[in-house]
Amino acid sequence: MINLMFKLSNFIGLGEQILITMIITAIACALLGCFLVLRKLSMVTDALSHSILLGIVIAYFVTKDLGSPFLIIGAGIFGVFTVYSIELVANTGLVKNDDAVGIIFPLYFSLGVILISMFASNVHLDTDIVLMGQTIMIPLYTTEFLGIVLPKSLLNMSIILLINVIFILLFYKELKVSTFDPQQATLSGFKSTFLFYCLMALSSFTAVSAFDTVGAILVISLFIAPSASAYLITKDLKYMLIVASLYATVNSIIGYYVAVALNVSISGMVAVISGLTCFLTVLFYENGVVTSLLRLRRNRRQLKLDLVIVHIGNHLGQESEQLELGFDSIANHLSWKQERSSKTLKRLIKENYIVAEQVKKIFILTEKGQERYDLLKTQYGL
Amino acid sequence: MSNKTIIEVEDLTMAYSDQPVLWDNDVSIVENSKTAIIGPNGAGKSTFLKGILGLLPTLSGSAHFMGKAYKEVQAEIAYIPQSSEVNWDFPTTALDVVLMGRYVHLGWIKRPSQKDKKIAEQALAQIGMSEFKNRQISQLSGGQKQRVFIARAIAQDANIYIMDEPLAGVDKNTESIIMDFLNESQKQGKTSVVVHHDLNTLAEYFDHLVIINKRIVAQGKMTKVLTQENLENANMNGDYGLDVSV
Repeated sequence: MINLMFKLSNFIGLGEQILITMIITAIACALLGCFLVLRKLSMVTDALSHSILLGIVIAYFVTKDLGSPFLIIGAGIFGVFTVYSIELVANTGLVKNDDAVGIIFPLYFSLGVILISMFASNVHLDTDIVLMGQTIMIPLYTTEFLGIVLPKSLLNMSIILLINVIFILLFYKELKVSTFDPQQATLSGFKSTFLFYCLMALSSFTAVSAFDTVGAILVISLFIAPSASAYLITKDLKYMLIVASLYATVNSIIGYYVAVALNVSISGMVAVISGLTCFLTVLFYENGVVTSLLRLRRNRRQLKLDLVIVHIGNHLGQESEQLELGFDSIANHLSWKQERSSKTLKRLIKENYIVAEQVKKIFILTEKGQERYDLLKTQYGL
Repeated sequence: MSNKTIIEVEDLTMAYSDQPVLWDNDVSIVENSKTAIIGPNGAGKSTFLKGILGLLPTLSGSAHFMGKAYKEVQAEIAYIPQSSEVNWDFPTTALDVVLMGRYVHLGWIKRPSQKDKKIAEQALAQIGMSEFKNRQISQLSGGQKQRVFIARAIAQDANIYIMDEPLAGVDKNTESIIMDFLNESQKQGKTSVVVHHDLNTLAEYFDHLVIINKRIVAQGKMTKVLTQENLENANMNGDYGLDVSV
């Protein structure tokens, strides 16, 4: 008998299988993450990714099978239940929404941990894996799909990504209006609450499926970091989704290769890189910390140049020009130290705004300087 | 102007948990009127609007628009919330927000067409915002944001406009643009219901008045309802320095 089975591992190395799974997981998370970030639900996602552990444990007790798809479904349903519990507690008006998150998720999560340690300590459902995932094992658990043997996580995450993409493509308009203005969405006949719970259910399914790949704690970084970065640099929801996916891909690729080189946890390194790229974005995007500082410095330097140009322009041709613009006296008139004024004047000469007129021994404007002077005069109404 | 009722609110009671905000309100809005709603802070003006639109739960009562429930005529009614109620940091453009006014005509899943985009652009032009159509909404001033909301209502092509303090904190220019829009709408046979805060412009801007302070204090034609006695009954005396010799 010839084995006609098409094995993915015959064509793509084990490492690349891990990387592809990682990228697909990251994109699936980042797409939903955009809506979670825009709805200010980052911490709810954190709660979700933890408390679904209880859902997995309960589903496992029912099915007695770690590979059962009911684990994912059970966890997904439990995720929605978690969000519902949080809303319920928050809507009493007695505690704030943030506090409600803090009350609900440790409760469910710790119940999950206790149940594991009491009844399931001998099965492969241990807390380390739940928290950190076991990225490195991805290629070892394979399954067959349409005659192709491929890692189970890769198949699961591809299906989840497909569902998420279809959901967003179909309901793009509804998601947009209900995120921007939920009242308008409701008044236009789109149930905001329904969309909210759909989003939450999908987030739960995605988070639980990503368990194998990255675990419960790190999945939050896949949801939030790329979306938060994309939010800073895009001005349109469409581009935000695309840019978040790009961030997710780049983070996964860099994270994977760095982890392999350093022989450390892949999921951990992807999370570190996600944090780093987000941090760099905060520093360097259009209104970022460093960018703003640089712009401020540049503007201040330009202001100094402009100030001298205006001074020269104002006094050229006047009787006082000898005094005001003279090589030696100009610094006094600006009340600047000699060193500072010669630095600025040198710069102006270098940038061809002014020249030193040797007969009268004064500084005069070049054509370019005169243009700048006229522009400044109109701009500031001088 | 006829005296036909276009919005009929009966026995509307609303509460936040166990605290009643509105007690048993009966209100009739006259067709083709410009009706102002006034009342002191915390009188339940915004709550009233949200109650009749079904945005907040009610304890009792009903609201009918043109004799029908809201759901049946939702495309005919445009609501303009206080501009603080939406997320202005949302990554989108002014034109895109205006385009959302068309969504009610589209229903689920269907995308806006070129025709819808044209309508949205015309709506922006009507309130003098064409040059800002591709501006990100977070970059707009307060008055411009309010005008984007008005344009969204224009794009919806509704018959009834329900507005929550559209003139609060906007510049003079925006104020006159919004009032031009309301006057023009009235000429086209449309009705507007507007929560208003400025007693000095009240009689000039509107022709009907509802005074609310948890209950309906008075309602009807502006000339009949805007009296010192009614304002005092609504606890609105003193502070406004109003000359009620209209």
